[in-house]
Amino acid sequence: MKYGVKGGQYKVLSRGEVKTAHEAVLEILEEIGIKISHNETLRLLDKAGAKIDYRDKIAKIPSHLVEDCLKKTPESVRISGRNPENDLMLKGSNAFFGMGSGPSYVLDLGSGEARPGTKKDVADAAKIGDALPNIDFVMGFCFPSDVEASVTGLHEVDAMANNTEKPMLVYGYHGKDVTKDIIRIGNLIQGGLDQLKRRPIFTLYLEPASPLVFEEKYVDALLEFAKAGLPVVWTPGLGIGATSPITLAGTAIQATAESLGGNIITQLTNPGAPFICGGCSLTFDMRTTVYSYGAAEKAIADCMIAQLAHYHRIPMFGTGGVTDSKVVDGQAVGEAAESMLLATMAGQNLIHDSGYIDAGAGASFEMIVICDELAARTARVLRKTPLTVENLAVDVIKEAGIGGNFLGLKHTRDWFRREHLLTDLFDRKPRESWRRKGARNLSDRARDTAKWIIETHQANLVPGDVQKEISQVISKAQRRELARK
Amino acid sequence: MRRQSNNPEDNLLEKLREAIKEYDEEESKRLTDLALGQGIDPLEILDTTITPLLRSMGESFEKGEVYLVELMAVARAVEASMRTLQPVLEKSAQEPKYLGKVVIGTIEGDIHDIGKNIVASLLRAAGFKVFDLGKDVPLNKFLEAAKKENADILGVSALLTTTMQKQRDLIGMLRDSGMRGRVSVMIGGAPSSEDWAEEIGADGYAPDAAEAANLAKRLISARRKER
Repeated sequence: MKYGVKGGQYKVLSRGEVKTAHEAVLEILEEIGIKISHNETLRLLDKAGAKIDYRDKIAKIPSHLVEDCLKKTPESVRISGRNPENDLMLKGSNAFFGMGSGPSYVLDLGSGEARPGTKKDVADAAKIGDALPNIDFVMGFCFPSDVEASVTGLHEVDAMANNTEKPMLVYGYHGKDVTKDIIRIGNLIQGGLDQLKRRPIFTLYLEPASPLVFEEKYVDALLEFAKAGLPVVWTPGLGIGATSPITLAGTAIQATAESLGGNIITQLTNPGAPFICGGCSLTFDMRTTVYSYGAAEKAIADCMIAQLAHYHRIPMFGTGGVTDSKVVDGQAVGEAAESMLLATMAGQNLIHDSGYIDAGAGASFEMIVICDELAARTARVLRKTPLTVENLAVDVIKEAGIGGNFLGLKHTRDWFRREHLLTDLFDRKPRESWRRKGARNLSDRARDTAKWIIETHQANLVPGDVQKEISQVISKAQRRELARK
Repeated sequence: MRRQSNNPEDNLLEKLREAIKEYDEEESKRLTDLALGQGIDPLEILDTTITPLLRSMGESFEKGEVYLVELMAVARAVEASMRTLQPVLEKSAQEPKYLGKVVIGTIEGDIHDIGKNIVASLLRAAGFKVFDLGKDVPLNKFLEAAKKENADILGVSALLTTTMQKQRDLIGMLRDSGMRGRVSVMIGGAPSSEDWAEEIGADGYAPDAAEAANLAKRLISARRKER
């Protein structure tokens, strides 16, 4: 079980401002409401005291209902890997780092060219996430374009499950039936629904459509996981100034309202079901119309969302290690480092999208490797070492003496591995040594590591008989979905 | 350079130009009504005031001198003026010189429409007649609209990697129904690309709204040349 990196040092809002923002969130839900294209859910909300307009499908949710549901929501959520050592306890301001899913192109490790993603890329990326020590959870990496589109999620699950023993988050591309198949596969791997509930290896990741629209397909998917008591992430991706207000505070409260809407549906369906809130603020660039991941202001808006999540005492799905750059260059590493550090300091719990480039249009194996290093640095910077006599080291200074030297001392040997973060990826050799080793730059070195992991790393495979059944679930699902077309 | 004119007509059109530049939708409509009331030819309003202004705004946007928020605001003011002009133009047997007819929509299964809306706005502002089918548009609805309106261009937007596959399906349907040669297809949306357009046999791809308007103009001239 891992407990993560303790964040929460960065606060944009004061205590009083958090409360004011919370009141504004309640006002959105009560006065404006959410469009929920799902009759069963509208009736559920109606029964619980919401004001429903069945014609326009808008639910206005009173604050007592929001707050009742928050009371039922678990404060901590455990997400699991096939190997229990990789389980993550999400709580408070503890941060974990992981990958992303969805980009349509991948930077080829051989040619460096952008090409469509494949199922093999999903598998290879899962290996990389599995092998790297500071990556805590795995996601699909890219959209596999070489499989049947109506069951993409199942192929992602298949590729990930055989290449990692860390927790997996699956993007909810599909509706009710395919989501049921994901649960079926989880049951097969863990040995039954009870076992899957106790140690959930799959978390479903869903997004509402901003502003304030819940589509039927995604509510269906949410309900399947909620009914099964499996963890769900319901997180909006907002375009600041396009699908949410241009002001960062306005974006933060809209995100929180949309996210809490998902929680209310979850708690009314299955009180106490594990729920992870979220919000990913993206600057809608007024010159290029790109939803920017690398913008400086992202950290501010996401921090406010995190502060509200802490106030509500639910774990939050956040974003870090991301960039708008099309290649793995200085912009990429600069934006990734800053976003990762600030997301962690804001106390976001599941910090995803390591591997994203080009504002999520592209995926890079090298970036996962670089983000692992960035995560190690982030963890080191935020790790607090308590002040003790031993680490104040006055005696040691006496021992070394005036004009002396600390290198040979036992104290130095004892503490060196704790105090110095040793890294391979970010190079510190003197220039001549670096030149003799080939004068390679960061992305070259990251590429070498990625290739080496893909060639040599293998997680424990899913047992053969289980894999057979998984393949059957997938082919059955594929036939079913194709018949629908 | 502002030419001081003693011609009240010029001054009225100058005021309209200012109103649009100041994003004043109400004033743009009022001045357009006034201009029409004074007998100014609607085509003249279009040709001397609206079209040149839009062209220069478009150029400034491409140069990075103005931003989308400003472009959208101008487009809205122009739309306010056009709402008054259009019916007059249609009534007066004068065929407004539309650059062409575009049917546009976000594809079936996809409800992202901000980009598509911006493109529709800029296309209208550029002089196209635009039929916006909205979002989550079933494939056969695209076909029917293209047929009914005798569209020159079909614009198809998709923002999800799952829904973009339907752009390919739509082109297939156009082929099967024998319509492929009659309409030019342009695609857009974040997961699309030049390569994707080529792969599925679309006539063009644009990475942003301003480029989309330029692409539409190029597709129209290409079609004229073919005739």
